[in-house]
Amino acid sequence: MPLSVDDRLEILELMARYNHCADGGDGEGFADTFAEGGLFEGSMRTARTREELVQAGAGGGGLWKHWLSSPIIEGDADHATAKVYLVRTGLGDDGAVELIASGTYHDTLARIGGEWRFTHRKVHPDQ
Amino acid sequence: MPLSVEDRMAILALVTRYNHAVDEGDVDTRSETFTEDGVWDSDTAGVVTSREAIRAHAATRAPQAHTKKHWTNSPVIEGDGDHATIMQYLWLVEIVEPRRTLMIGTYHDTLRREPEGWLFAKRELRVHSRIDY
Repeated sequence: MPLSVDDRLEILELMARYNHCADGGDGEGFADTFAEGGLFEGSMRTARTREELVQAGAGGGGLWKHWLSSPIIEGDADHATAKVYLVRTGLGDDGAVELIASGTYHDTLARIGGEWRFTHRKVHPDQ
Repeated sequence: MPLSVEDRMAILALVTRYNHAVDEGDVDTRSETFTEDGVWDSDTAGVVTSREAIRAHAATRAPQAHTKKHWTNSPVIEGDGDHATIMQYLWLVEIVEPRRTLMIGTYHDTLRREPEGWLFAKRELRVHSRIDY
């Protein structure tokens, strides 16, 4: 069975929740976007256990924001892959918005207990 | 018949497929987002008519791939039956140092439902601001 519109919207919302948690320093919420045993490979760190994921998510907070665009989502009823653009903005010393980093997320997702979760999220930095 | 939610999602997916294809220098996928008689009308490239001509044009731009990304935002989709339009912002950003904004523009697209799905019958890109790059 192909992905339904509901599935696509739920996956987009999972991505948005990840951003809000990462930017708000909500480590528990960040870890909740991953399946148990899910692997996060960021540009600066890798996390797999619950403890590592909570720590990875709690590190943000403050002036960063993650922005996403152009999500390509493919899959079936219980498994999906996604590719989505990422930029991270911050504030410089002069108060101007800076483009800190850019890349593409390559995601693998699964529906577990009725909810979509990342089983693998890897950042491919642009440079 | 008004556009369904599935139509709207498919149209958004077409746009994202185009963005990834142009940014990765995937000439085939980029040209295949257009109908056979598709038109690419931009302030940067002029008017290019037919999928074949768009393919040839795309090939000339492919060497610039992997240096910038097309970010699209604020899509407004209208239409019914087998015809639709989508208007959206374009932010063209350089993804290698110095990571600049290269261009801000607006896409005005006309789409047609073909046997293989929704495709661009015409893409118009109007540039609002641009730096030399």
